Amino acid sequence: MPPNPLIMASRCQREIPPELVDRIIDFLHDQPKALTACSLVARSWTVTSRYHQFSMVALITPRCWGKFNRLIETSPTMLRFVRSVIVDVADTYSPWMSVCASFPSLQHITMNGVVSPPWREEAAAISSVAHNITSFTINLTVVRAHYVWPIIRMFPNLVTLGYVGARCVVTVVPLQLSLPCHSPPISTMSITNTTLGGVSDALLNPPYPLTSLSTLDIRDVYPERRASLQALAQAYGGQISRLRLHLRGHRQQCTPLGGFKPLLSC
Amino acid sequence: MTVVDTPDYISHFTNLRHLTFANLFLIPRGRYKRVAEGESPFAWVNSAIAALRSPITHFTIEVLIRQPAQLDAVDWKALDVLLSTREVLRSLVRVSVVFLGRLEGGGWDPKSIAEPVAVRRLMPLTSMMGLLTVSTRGPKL
Repeated sequence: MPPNPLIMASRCQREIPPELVDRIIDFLHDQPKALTACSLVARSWTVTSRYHQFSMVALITPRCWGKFNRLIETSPTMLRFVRSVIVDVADTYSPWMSVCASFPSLQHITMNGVVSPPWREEAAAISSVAHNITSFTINLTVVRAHYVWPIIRMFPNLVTLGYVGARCVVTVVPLQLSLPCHSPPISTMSITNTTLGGVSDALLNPPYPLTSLSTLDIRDVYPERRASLQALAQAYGGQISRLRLHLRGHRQQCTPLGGFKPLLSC
Repeated sequence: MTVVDTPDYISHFTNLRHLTFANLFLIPRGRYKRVAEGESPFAWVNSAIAALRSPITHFTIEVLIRQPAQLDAVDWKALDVLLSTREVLRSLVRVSVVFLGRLEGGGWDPKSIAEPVAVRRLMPLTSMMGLLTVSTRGPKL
């Protein structure tokens, strides 16, 4: 009688050490289709596959939101795998903080769109995960300067701050926000400018001294931003030990820090 | 058209140890022309290093190569001269050359094409012996 292939597969799978399975799946970390296939192989493979598959989600269009909502209805456990999220804040009243708060393992936030002052309820909601956030990127954003630092200072353990192609709009209305106010130990700052405008003085002149800042990543340095970069260099030049310079003018696609692509996007 | 310029703000970084030049276009060609005819493609790197005020221990250049043929056009000798003559680079413990492959005309694999060429070209440069690492980053085919 020929052996049952299902029984053989099950036996073979039991004989593979789980750490070896993890190692194999780790190699597929940036291949969504392969990860989907792996997650269906066996229950023991599902967690490791999903760990990579849902490591980053991009919620940047209504279609994305719809797809995401359907997904968490059928599989709410995937929320714990999300470590990085890209949110589009095109709508002034977008509840992005509440959404971020639903990811218990969230570490990186990339924000697109218009930065608006957070609602107090939202600020309270995100406080449950705020201490996990280590990286925050403002991407292709119209920034109202005085909104930026109050949001950044909500994350007490933030170490990496990215500023990609943002344009600063300074309004004259003073802002009074009742938000948690920390002095996060930012050690890495990445400044990438596209053709949108100058580097914001609000970001280059933070409300508290960035004594931990040691790494600077400067991309696409255009002459009109020289004054701002000169000011940054004068302020922090003595403590920067790692500098990464990109030759100016290379029109590359703006991506979050590290240039990684989301695995779950529309 | 010359767009090579000196990042004068670099002189303010007095505590610098790790320096990376990213996305270098070393080949003056087409719309991505970055250096004038007859000018060393390392001129920008050279001017930046000249402005340095602190000894560098880790030096990385990331070279953007669009076609395998561009590897032969890179002025590797200029890089060797650059590394061996500058005072601020005397304390180097590591030099990294990273190739950033980009798909053009059907694509190519920088791992299998660029690395062997770069190692063959760079290894004879004695000033970098023992310090040099060559690696590639690029799209998967």
